[in-house]
Amino acid sequence: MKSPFALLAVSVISSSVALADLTVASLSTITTDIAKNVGGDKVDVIPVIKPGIDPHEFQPTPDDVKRIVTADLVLITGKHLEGYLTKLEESAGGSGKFVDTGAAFPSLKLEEDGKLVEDPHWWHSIENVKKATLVVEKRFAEADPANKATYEKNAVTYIAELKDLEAWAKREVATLPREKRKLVTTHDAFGYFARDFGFKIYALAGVSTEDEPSSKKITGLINTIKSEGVKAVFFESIENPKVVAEITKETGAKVGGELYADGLGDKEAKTYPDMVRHNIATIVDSLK
Amino acid sequence: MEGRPWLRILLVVLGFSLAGWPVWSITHYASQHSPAKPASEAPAEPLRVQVTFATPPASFELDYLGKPLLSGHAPDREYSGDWKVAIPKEGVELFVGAEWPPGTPATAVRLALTRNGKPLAEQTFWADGSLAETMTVREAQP
Repeated sequence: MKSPFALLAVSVISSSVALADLTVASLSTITTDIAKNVGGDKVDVIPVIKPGIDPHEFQPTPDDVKRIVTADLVLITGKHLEGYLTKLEESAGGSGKFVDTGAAFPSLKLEEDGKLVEDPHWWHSIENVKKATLVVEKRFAEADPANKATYEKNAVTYIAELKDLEAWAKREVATLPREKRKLVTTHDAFGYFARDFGFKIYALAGVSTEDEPSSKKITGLINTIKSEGVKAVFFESIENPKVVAEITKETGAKVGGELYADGLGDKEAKTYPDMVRHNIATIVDSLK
Repeated sequence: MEGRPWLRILLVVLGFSLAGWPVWSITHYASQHSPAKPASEAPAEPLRVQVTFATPPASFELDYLGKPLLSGHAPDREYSGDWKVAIPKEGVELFVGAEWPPGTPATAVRLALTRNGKPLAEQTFWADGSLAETMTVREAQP
């Protein structure tokens, strides 16, 4: 026999599901945040990738596939970050309900092992997130026309919040002299940020966290840090900071702190604006 | 002097001291009195900074490294001042922030820097109620 608490829980869950008019699965913590802001109480957002999970290494489980197949829409970041996408689309019976939020703006290209690759970390440009918000709003409205006005209103409110965030970011970064804008990170995830804010990136590994840096690359980076007078080296929330500790020992640079490169976290970066504020404050404070 | 080794040691020490004095003097003077040379010298001629608003803002500020260079309130449309700064090869970045009363239509702001009357950098920004933008200034190529 079920306890009264279990019955109450089932009832609460059922009623909350009943309130939502659209079910949306999200394959990135960033698109989850956008979806929650645009969808409000009209959308039940299923975060398939949760904070702290590395999207470069993620592979959906059978349960994840089931949730994705039954959702009305599936949000992806695109730019080849979801390497398993083709198989998912096959499982879902086509690509129709997949919303490629990263297709709304051009990609940065990086040279890796002599080949040009797309940089998938577009969310480090606030401007890109504004454009992705409009994509989400449009697809929500198409899938659920009855709530179009709500999605439009929510998107306007969220974009206004992003505009304030952009103003704060520009003011904050402007306090750091341009000659000090040298960002050493463990993997090459901050290209869009560097483009928007005039930083030069020195990354230990390539665009994926799966790339292992060679000893030649580490030695080269150590020499660069010394010759460029870089003050701090940053590690990322989902990576082992030991390599960074070794580099700082060799170069005399300090450990600048933890950056959120591949998505939101469960501490100081629970929302997209929180993540941006944390990353920028950490970078600017450490490099001054 | 035989039988007086202390006298021989004293003479050797005295000899080294006399020979080393000029070297110590030069290096000591250099380290004590030479001021640290800045990475790039500030140019003798200051820059003229000018901000022009199509619609006067309710408030406005122009900052460099978080410190105000110019600021003001309505009803002025033009602000200007001299700014002495050394520009490294990476350039310097100015932050311009402004707010307009609610309902103000889209408006333009022009930021221009000149040296000795010659233009060095210029940019026009569009604003819709508020403005928060940056402009990077680099030395003109010879």
